[in-house]
Amino acid sequence: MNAVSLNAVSRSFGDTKAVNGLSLDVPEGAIYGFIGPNGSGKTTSIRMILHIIHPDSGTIEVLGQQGNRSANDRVGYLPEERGLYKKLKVKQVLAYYASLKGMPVKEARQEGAQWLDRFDLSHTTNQKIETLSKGMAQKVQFIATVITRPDLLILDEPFSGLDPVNHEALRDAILDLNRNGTTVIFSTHDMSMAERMCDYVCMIYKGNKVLDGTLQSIQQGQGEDTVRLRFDGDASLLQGHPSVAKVTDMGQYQEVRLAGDAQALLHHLVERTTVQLFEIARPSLHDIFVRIAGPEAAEAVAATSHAVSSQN
Amino acid sequence: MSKILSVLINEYLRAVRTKAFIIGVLVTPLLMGGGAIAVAVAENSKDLTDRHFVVVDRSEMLTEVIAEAMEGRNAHAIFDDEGEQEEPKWILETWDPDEHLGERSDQVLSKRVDDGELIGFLIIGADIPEVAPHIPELAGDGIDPATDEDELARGDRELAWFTDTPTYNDLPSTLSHLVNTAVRRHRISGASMDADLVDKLSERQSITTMGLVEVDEDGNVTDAKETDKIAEVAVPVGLAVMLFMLVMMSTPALMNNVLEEKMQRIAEVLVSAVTPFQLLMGKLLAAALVSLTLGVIYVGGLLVFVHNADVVPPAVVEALSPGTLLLFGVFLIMTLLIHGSIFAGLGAACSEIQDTQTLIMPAMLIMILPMMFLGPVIQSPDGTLATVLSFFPPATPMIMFMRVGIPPGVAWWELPVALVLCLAFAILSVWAASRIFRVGILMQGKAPSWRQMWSWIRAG
Repeated sequence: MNAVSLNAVSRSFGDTKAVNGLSLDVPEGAIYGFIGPNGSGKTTSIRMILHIIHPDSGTIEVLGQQGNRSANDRVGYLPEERGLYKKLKVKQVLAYYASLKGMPVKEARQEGAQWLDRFDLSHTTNQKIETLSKGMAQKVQFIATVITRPDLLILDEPFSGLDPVNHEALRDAILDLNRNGTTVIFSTHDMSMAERMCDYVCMIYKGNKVLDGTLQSIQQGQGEDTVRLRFDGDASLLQGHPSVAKVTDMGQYQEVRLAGDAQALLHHLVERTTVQLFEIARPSLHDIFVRIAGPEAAEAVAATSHAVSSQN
Repeated sequence: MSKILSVLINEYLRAVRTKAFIIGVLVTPLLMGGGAIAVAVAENSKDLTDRHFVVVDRSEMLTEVIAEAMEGRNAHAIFDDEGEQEEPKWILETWDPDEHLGERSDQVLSKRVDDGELIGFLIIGADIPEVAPHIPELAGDGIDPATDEDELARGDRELAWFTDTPTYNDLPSTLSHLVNTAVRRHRISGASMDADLVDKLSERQSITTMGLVEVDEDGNVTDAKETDKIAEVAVPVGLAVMLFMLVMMSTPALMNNVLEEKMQRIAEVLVSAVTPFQLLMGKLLAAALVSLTLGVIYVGGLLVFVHNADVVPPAVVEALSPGTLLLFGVFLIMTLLIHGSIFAGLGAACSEIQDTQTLIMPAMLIMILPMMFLGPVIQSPDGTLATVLSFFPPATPMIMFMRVGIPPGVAWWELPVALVLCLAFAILSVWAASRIFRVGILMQGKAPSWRQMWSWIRAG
């Protein structure tokens, strides 16, 4: 049973094709990563799933309902660009957002109180949103998204702007919800995050799906042709070696795509320097994405990551 | 429906819980009352400084008349019943040419006005008392009109008031009246008639405005009553102006409210939970409810006042009938739906406050249109302009409301037709705005043109 099914969905804005013939299935109970650089069509796809905008062609089924908004009350949505009524109190915001999904105020108060407690925000109940820190406001917005106990949770870049502590708290909350049966779709440009959390991944680039499946099957499909390396010296040691197809600097280590024998490469390095890490691994999502979508896509991802990290 | 209700409740509470609303409730009547007090204070704080003026009487027969009149006025007419002075004294100085030989009177006196000694001076031409030269048929009978205009120096027929305070009009108009009355009597006497008799014969009669004689079904006749023009117009016009004020207070605020949700990125969460139409409807109805709340407070206060104050004419109390107030409420909701949807649509279409500046003008113009024609409509409530305007839906609520209230009222079919037209237009406005809302609410960047918005409405 799928929580969400898209079948050959397309949507254009003027001459720009934002989403082009996208088909995908999100299994119930999955954590489904929707990844790709900014402008690749993720947000447009999400808005179509929520029936905020309509597709030009194709069909969309959400929680068993096709082509209408009747499932929306069972969907929680955290958009990428967040905002709350600054002049309202925390409890008022939570009650209002819950009432829009049909939850009675009393129930919303109880549920809200539990969530506020979980995020150590109980003291803010009667505070106005404008008095909260950015991290607190983000957590309140997350609570507003999950307060109605949705069956499907759609999170657009949920971790952007969060410090490590809040990041961890939010990640635990999402995993808990998922363990209790909530299907989670989360959109991100951060592939390593998707790799750590998702069961299923769909990569989208320039409105086209470039990869779709379980994380395991995707990685297996690429084979174990990657070596993670850390050694004294710089990457020039790897240049020109027949076993090396491509080197990507990952900061803490170098990721090498093999074109030949791994042992020959290890031997080559040990003779010349001290090797601290040599791990034969499956390729990372980032690497797979670049292989499929091409170097131009890699630059787009890099640009997005850079822009986001400098914002943060 | 429950979603519209959720939006409505939230928007309503958000609006009435603000300090601005509470201040608005208290301050608006205070401002109105304050205005009335200011007028009263201005009335009571007249400048009572003596006003000196000079009359240069070349006819040598009018100074005396003026002097007598001023003496009488300064002794009695400037005091109220309790003997308190409420008007300044007007003190006449005469001009004796013999004392000022070789001097130009206008030049000397202008200097004195300039120095602040005088408020002004009057020059009466030598020939003022004589019959005008263009009435030769009056020649004979002792009158000696000049027949050749060239014989008359222009200044000899001059009656001129010189001043550097042209806005102070009471004195020159009194002088004009005195001179003309005296001259008229002089000319009548010159024509061998009895000036007193002529005065009596030409006594003016003022007109009384009456309503109509009414005959009921049994043939009983009710005499016409004298109408109190002000009282009959005060209620419909006053309430229509209140209608305008309430709409002015709510609808531009609605635009800011939508724009704020858009700028603070709240809109996307909202439209994922409710449709743009539900969101718009909730907001519009909340705005209508806020205005109704204000209306109930103001009108309620007014009712308490008119039923307890003796100074209010009975016609006013009678005009504030439940039927009138119900119609006021209905028109208030309709006008809010019409203008509210226009402003909410604009809020959704724009991304920044600056963007609204260019788009807001036409919307404002449509809203203040009925106010611009207030005068002609009161003057002629069943005239072509008023009738046409009352069937132009954006203006219908105000204009039709006034036409219904101001005698002679409207034909039996006019109000229902106007209500239906207005309702249809309100639904059309909400529908069009919801289309703009759906496209605009998530759109960022440059504000659209009117043409683009039209294409959004058509495309949906």
